[in-house]
Amino acid sequence: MKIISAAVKSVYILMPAAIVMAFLWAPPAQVLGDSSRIMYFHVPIAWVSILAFVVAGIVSILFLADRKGSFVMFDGIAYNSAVAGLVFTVLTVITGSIWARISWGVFWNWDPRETSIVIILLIYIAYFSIQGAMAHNDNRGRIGSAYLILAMITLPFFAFLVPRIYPSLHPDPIINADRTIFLDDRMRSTLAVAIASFTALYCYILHIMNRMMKLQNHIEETSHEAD
Amino acid sequence: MGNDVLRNLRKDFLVEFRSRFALNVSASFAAIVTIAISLTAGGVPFSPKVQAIVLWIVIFFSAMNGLSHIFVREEDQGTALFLRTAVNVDSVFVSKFIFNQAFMAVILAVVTPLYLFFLQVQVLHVAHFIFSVAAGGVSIAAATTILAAMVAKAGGKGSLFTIISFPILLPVLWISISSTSAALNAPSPTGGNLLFLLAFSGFISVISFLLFRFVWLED
Amino acid sequence: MRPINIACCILLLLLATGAAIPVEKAGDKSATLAAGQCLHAQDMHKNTPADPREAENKPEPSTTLYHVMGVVLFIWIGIAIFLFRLDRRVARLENRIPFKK
Repeated sequence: MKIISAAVKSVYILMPAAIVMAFLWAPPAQVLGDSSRIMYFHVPIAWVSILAFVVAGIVSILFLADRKGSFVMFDGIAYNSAVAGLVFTVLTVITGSIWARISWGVFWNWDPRETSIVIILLIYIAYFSIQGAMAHNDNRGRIGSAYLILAMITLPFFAFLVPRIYPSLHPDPIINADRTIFLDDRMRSTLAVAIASFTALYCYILHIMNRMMKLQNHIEETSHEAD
Repeated sequence: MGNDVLRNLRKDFLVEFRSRFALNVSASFAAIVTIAISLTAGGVPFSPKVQAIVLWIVIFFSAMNGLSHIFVREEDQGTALFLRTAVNVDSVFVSKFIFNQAFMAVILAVVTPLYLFFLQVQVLHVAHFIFSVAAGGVSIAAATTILAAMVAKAGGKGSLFTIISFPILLPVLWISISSTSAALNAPSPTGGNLLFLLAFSGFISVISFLLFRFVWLED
Repeated sequence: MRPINIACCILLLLLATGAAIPVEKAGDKSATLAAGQCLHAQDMHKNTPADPREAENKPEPSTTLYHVMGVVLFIWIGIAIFLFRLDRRVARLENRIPFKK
């Protein structure tokens, strides 16, 4: 527990470093110019929104598969991860559409990656609708987790489908590591630091939320016992 | 298990046949929407792509009106508790799954002729069209069985079912629409889309079967 | 959603908009129009004043980049202070409440 809380606090150092590197150290991209610097925020945020989704799914699987009662609060962790993930997904959409406006001239054009992020957004909305409808219901955790798993499992179908339906405008060379036309070493290391710092930020937020959940549960339990 | 499934199915069909509530709602909804589209369009024929989209939107929302009923009814009438204690969880799922498939088949049998009749649709490849509609219906019914159980647990709130079904049914709708529009006007439609739909429904049925106990049973 | 979640939402939103919007101003307009995509006639017109400067190979040192960075850093400092205080408060509560092992 100590190690985790120390590791996530690295965000205090990593994030300013990432910001300074993104604006001063990394060179502007050849075609996109200075506006490409939004990449150091958009790409890590998008990565975190996927990560949060996957974490929520895996934690839900652990929660449901658990027979010994060792992962009792994991439905709450999945919920917290989904909350953080929802925020990051919305931010991905916002930063992405700003970048799209700058480089393609439109805010939105149903590019495959935009479509996938919207699908994740829809899944989050559905998940929170279920959770909201089942407030004060004992089965809330199980049903929410089951839905999250079901939704996560259909995602590979989208990965197979979406690129066949919509052609992509996304700057692949910037994101794919194998085509490094636009990414020199400084850009790549800046991106790595930015990804690390946003991941740390996500972990930090999740860590705080989980601790608060634990406190809340404890207070509820003791007040029930007092009754 | 087989006996349980059969007994359950018989009960479900009898109860549904007695009131025909879900069926009436779904079929009337489909009829109203189709007629409304045809009326407001004033007899102007749509392009095949739009026709396919309209068909699947009508099917999707008609299904959303009726498919959750199978579990919501159990919770509403208080029979869910009895079913939970008396009948094995797997046979509950299988019987509800089969019932939903049958229900979906009836909805399709109502919606599709209405749509063909009112929207002046000319189908180029009849067999491919029928298979597309059937495969899409199978996928929708397969994916929504467990979702119906979740919605019933959440108190059967009407629009919740649509909200939680949409992200999961999106690939089905996409592929069904492209397959249907191919059946309407493509020179030679291929079966890849149908294969995808069948694979999807098989996959989602297995996952639902595995997850159902967590949704249905209580501590 | 608890207030903390909403606060996180707002702060992160601020970070994103702060990071993103001014960059549009800072970005070289002719360069932002990527690879000939979506070239509008109006944009072409706007770009013409910038062209002679490029021909002279003396790009004016832009201070906008520093301003943007300042704004982003400022927002980050806000988030960091918020997170730090939250963390400390939760830690204090954890110390006060005896958890059952």
